[in-house]
Amino acid sequence: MIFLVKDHAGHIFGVDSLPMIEKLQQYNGMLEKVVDVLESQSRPGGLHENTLLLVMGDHGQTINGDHGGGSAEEVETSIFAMSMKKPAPSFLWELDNSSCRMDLPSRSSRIVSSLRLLVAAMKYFLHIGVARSASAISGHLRKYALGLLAETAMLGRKPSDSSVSCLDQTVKAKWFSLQLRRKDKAEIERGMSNEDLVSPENVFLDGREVCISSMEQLDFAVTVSALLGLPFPFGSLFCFSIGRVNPVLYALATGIWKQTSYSVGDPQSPSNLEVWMQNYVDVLCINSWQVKKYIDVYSASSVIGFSNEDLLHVAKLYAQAEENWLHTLNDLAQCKSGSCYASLGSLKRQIVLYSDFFASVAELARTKWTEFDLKRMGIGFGIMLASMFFHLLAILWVDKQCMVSFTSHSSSRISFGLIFSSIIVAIRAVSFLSNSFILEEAKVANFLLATTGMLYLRHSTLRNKMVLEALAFLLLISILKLVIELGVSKQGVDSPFLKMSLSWMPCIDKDSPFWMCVADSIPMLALFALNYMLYQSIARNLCQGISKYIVSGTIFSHMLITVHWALESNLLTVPLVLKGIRGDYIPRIIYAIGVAQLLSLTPVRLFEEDVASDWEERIVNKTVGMLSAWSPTVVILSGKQGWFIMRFKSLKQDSGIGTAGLLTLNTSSVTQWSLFATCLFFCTGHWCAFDGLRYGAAFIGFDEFNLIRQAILLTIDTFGFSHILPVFGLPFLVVYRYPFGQAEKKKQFFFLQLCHVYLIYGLVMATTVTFTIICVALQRRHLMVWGLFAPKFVFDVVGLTLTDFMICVASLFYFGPLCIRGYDLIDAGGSGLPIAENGDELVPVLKHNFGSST
Amino acid sequence: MERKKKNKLVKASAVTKSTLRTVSPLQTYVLHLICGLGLASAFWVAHNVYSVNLIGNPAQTLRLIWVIEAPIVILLYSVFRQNPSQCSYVKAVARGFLALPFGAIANALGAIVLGAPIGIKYFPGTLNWSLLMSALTFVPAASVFGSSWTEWHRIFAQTKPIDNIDYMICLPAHGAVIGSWFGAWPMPLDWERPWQEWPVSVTYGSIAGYLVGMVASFGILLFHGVRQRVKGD
Repeated sequence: MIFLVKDHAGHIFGVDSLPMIEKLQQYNGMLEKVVDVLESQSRPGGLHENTLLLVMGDHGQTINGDHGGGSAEEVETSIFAMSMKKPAPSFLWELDNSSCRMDLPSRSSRIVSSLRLLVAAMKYFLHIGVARSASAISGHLRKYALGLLAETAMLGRKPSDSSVSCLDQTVKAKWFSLQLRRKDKAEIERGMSNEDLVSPENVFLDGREVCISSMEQLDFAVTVSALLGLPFPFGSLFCFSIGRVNPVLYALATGIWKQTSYSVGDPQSPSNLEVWMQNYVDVLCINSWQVKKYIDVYSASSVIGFSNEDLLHVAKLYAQAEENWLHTLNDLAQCKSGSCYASLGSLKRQIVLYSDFFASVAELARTKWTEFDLKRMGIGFGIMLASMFFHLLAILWVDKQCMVSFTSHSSSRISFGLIFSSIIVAIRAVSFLSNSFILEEAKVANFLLATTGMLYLRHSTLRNKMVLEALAFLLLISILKLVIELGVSKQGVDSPFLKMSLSWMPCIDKDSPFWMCVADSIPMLALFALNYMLYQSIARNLCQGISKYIVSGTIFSHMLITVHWALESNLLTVPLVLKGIRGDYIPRIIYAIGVAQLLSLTPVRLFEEDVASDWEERIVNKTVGMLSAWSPTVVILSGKQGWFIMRFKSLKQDSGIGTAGLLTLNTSSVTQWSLFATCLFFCTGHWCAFDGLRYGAAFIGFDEFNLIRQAILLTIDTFGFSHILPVFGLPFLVVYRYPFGQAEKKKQFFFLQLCHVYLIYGLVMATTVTFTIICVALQRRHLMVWGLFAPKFVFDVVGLTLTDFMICVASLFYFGPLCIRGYDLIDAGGSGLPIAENGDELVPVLKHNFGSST
Repeated sequence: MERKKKNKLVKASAVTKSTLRTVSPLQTYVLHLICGLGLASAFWVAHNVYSVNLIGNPAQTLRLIWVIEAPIVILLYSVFRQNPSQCSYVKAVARGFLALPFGAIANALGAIVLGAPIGIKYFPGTLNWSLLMSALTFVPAASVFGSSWTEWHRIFAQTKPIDNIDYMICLPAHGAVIGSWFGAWPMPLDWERPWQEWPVSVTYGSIAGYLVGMVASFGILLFHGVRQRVKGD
């Protein structure tokens, strides 16, 4: 049985709320009934003679009803086990020092009922929800035990009387006194003494014995498998493969099975304790053998396994235990008659030896699998901070250079734009500290982008110029938002938005050939429009020389893409011969053209003469050339989703030029640009998860798998629109800004500005990534760490690395060998560092990743 | 250029000032108090008479609020209209009502650009919210200034309130807009509370911002008025 409602009640209303208490009472009623039924049929020969009742929660919760963090109250939950058997003999408590002891003969003699209760707090070994394992187990439990899964967090909770009362009728004991949290220990003792209880760990009331203990989560699966006679789990969930059979729970359920097989009056017959211990040692023997095997297999197969000395230590302990057991068995074998049994002492020694082995394995696993390398994380974070610091220094330096050489521009340095953009960046960065904002990153980025857009609208109405551009920009943002929403709705198929949009267009029959045709041809039309714009730029003689050829190459590639899409969507009927080659050749040609374009841009860079007069035009040419060289590849990879982005691209170039004209400082426009890039990332149907990668894109043009080639294609698909193109497009922000002054001076100023812009872009990226790192470091124990934080971290860091790399390439490309020397150094100082950092920071995480996946 | 503009503006405001009714801090206080009470009474009516609340039935409650608040705002602000000699009270009231839907369209567009959900399900909420926002932001300006572009430009683009009435329009309006901007922030959080839905938290934010703006406007006018008097002396 699984009780889910309590989880919602806890989440929505909190722990001490009325609905929660009502739910608890309701479940209490159910539990009472279950216990009654079990008790009534627990006589020898009864249906439930061998039943074990388990009630447990899959996690704890805070006072607010939240969980998912790493605090004790969240990861420690309660398990309630109840056996219908006769009380197991007192030896039980000798096995586990943490459980209750029966050191009070006067008390134990009062035990009349056969009911035994065991309460144990189950510590989570790794914070992987036990729900998974528990539900898997409960299938097997059905035959032998009634598995009751409920979030019995009430045991770990301060008593509000009604919520506590839920179980006390069953147990006739004050359950609140069973709180297991350390900080409540004093309270427990007080509660116990009030009830005239002898020990805080033993509760004997009404002849029922309650025992408190704690067990690790990793022991649970193994113990239950041992009880059910199932194979121990091996390999699948690695943390459950190294558990040991918990003696208390095991003893509680198995009790004294074999007693009947011995004649009662035989003086030679072993005591219950000895029989049970023999049994338990047998189980431990199998258990430890499997754990040893698992450790060996794991360290042989995993990339970063355990260290040799650790392995040796474990192996030594295991060998010791094995040897001892062998010795005991040999002794037994020499004894011919059936009445020889291992002595109590040797059995105990054996158990201790096995326990040592298990403890060392668990400790080893805990240090290797669950602990983070805090030192390296600290180093990585420090490097990140240092890189931000260097960025800032470099920006200030460039600023000063600007000031020195152009006194006319030393207007107010701390302007509204600067403050605003730093606030925006700060908000965005800080929002990464919350997991919900990471989930909704697309919306947040869009919100901030729209805010900047609105402020530009206001700014432009203030100046009474470029209002139209600002409006166009807002329109662009809203289209972007719509596209993001559509993309998000593609993630979850049943999203309300999709249904709504379907209900919006009831007249559209999705399967009708007409609409298919329209849907297929819209992207092509968009490409044609883009081609037209490019053609115009040629015709207007904006592009000269080699750039002209490059742009025409792009136009040709776009044509090819159109043909490719047409062939794919079966708009045209193609002869069979063509069909054979259509899949691969066209994309390959496009890639080849792209590479050729890029290569041809390099000689342009190298051989061109430095003529001061037309540098501005040339920069534009170069930018256009660079963008157009990249775009066909990116477009074909991102497939049909790319078409509207292309439209945006062109629009953006216009509006980018437009907004740049308005600005007083680079910072705000660069911030806007980076937000825009983020939105583009989500707009192209990506999201920060590994299933957000579009693996199909890696195989456009290639059928067979080649790691490096496919990785490059996938990277270009993922980061093309959001990281590569924006970096190369950044000069647009600067080019049209200062159309005054002498050519030579202007040029110098321009390059300083461009450098400035790149540095700021790097700083914005570095800031957000730093906060992502902080967040991931803080939430490394979070429930969602593999689902949410780690992918986000990897995406951000890869994006930052790529951006820095691209900034280096772009600065080489744009600045050229003549005028950069100094500036390039700054750039290397600023952006080179994060790269080093990323490598550093990635290592522990990747290690961890490997650890958990294997 | 800037200085010239400023000079022009000062001149223009000096010209208008002569024709404008002067607003005393007491009048400001009364106006803001009535506006605030209007909001409070709207909530009271919604809660006690129609027994709806913002969280349960956002659209109905919002409709009730703007239906009560908009007339109060229009009637009150029309008293302080510009050029009272040329523009009758009725005309000011009429242009206030006329501005309501236009302001709503502008507000709705802004909200949608900023990420308000689109769809039939959200339409009533968006509509009523934007009407309320229009009553808090656009309508007072429309009642007072009419269609004078320079004044609108001065208040909303330049944020240069000069006169008392400017402050009374400018600060609450900006407060409402900024408040709703901040009110949108809890929406993505995964608390699964009903007030996180569009337009509930945003409405709370805008009303809070509006109230803060009114308090600020009153405070500034007290301070400002004193200073002006000192200047005059």
